[in-house]
Amino acid sequence: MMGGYKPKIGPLRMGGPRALGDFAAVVVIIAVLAVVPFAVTSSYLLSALSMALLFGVITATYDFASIRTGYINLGYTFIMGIAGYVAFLSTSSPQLLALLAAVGGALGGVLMALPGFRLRGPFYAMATLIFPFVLIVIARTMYDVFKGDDGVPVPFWLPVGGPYAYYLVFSFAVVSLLVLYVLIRTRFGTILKSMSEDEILVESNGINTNIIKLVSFVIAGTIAGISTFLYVSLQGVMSTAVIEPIPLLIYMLLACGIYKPGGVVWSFMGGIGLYMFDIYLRGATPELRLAIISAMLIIIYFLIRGRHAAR
Amino acid sequence: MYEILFFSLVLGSCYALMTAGFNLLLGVARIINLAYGAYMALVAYLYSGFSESMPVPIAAALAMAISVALGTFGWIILRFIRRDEVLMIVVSLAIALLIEGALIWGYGPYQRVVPALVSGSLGWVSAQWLLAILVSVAVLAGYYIIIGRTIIGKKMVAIAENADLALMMGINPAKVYLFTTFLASLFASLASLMISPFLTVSPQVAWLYLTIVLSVSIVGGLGSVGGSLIAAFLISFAERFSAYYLDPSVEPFVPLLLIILVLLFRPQGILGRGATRWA
Repeated sequence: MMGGYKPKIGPLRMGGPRALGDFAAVVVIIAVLAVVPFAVTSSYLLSALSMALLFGVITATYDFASIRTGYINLGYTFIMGIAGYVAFLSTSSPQLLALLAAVGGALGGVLMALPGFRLRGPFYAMATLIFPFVLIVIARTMYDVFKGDDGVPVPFWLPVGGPYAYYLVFSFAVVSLLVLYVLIRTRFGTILKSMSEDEILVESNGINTNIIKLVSFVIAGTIAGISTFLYVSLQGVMSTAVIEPIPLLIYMLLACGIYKPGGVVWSFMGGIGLYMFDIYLRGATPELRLAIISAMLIIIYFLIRGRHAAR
Repeated sequence: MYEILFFSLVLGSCYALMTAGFNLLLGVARIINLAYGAYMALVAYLYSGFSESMPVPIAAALAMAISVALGTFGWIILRFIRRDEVLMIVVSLAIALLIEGALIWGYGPYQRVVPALVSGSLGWVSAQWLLAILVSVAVLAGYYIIIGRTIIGKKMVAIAENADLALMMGINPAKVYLFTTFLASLFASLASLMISPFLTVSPQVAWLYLTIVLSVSIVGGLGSVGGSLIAAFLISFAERFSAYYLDPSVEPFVPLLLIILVLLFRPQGILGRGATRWA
């Protein structure tokens, strides 16, 4: 690979009216989400919304590292698994948990980026799909350590369902979204987008695309790791359900494809919406749920076709 | 020790058989079929269901016939999606979910026992173990005879090498792809009948099968039947011996470790082609 990449992210560029539209959308979303606890009194709904917010953040990180670069990753939940297990198997201190989850997420990001150094297209997609499945097998086989489907109990530190937990999650989501939004407006973000269009051309400009992939996955993994820490804290247990790629990954793909793939903002909103839809679907029979999810998959294709199908 | 060696051989044979079909489709027809594991689960369920009301050999034959017909018929769907890699992944995942949903609907979410095709044993060797090895060896030998000695086999190789050139030489790709799909369905059905009696199956077993198939394929080389043969035995022996010599808890880490090593040092897999970029 070529080695002329200058490791600067470059100045922030706001772009044209479309970018301003996205910025306005971010402001509106944040404003609406900020007043939710005043309108919603049900602690169940508030808790569900908090989890949906975190899923929205994870989806935005997926959009940033995978969809924006054109490296369709089918094993992204592996990052959540690594982050969750690294944190909750090591300590019970909330501060240390957050730190370890971030480190675990970054490590997961590195592992997810590595296949992308040599593989792309469907080869990369298949190579990444195997990671969460193997982690699930490990978690189930080594029950004494990982507690399989029952899961590792999480120390209680966050009063679930109240405004405190919601605003903690909300603040994290806002900061994460802004970080990702700012990043995609920098030179670094432009390179990510260019890679999805023509990676060879990017390399020919002296940019080491492997470093770009690695950095993008580490950033995404770190944020996704902290999100997982909060998500699991709200859920109360770190189990294989957090790693199961189906249906979480399908929701991520769909959310990213709804509007402006790689734009972070819309995938964040899509992630929130689809997570709430999934909560609604949990009342349906398993076979009906699977049928609906499989229909969604077909829709995903038509949504992302124009951008990535030709890779 | 002998039991470990033999059981490694048995599972290695089953892994090789189940992965051969997946890689055949990928290598010749360039089809990524992520519904492959779900298809194997469907075969196991059909066989298990039929065996409740009829003798085991007839149940196995009937399950085979239905599933191979379904699998070959699946070509009608696959031929439309094979031109687009993302579409292949998405649609085959959707088909896998539909099959899983159908199994839950038809049989419930519970675990099922899949009866062994043959009962009894030869000394300490289970008859089902022996059958698994014999069938795998026979089928894979048959595959190599087809590839090396028959016209259709040579056409398959030609299309795998260069489909456009093969078309210019007067080879009808549609017929070759149909035959490839038939062979892949046959391999998957037989593999399911061989390996499922060792497990307790549930609708989710589809993902376990897919995990094995993808692990072996990545280590052996995506699209390479020969590579998957080597990788199948490598993974099987490494799993069993690490469990025996180190600790049983190490066993599930072995495929992941091998995958990471392969992706780091030889991303195209043991016998994969040099072209690691499909674009």
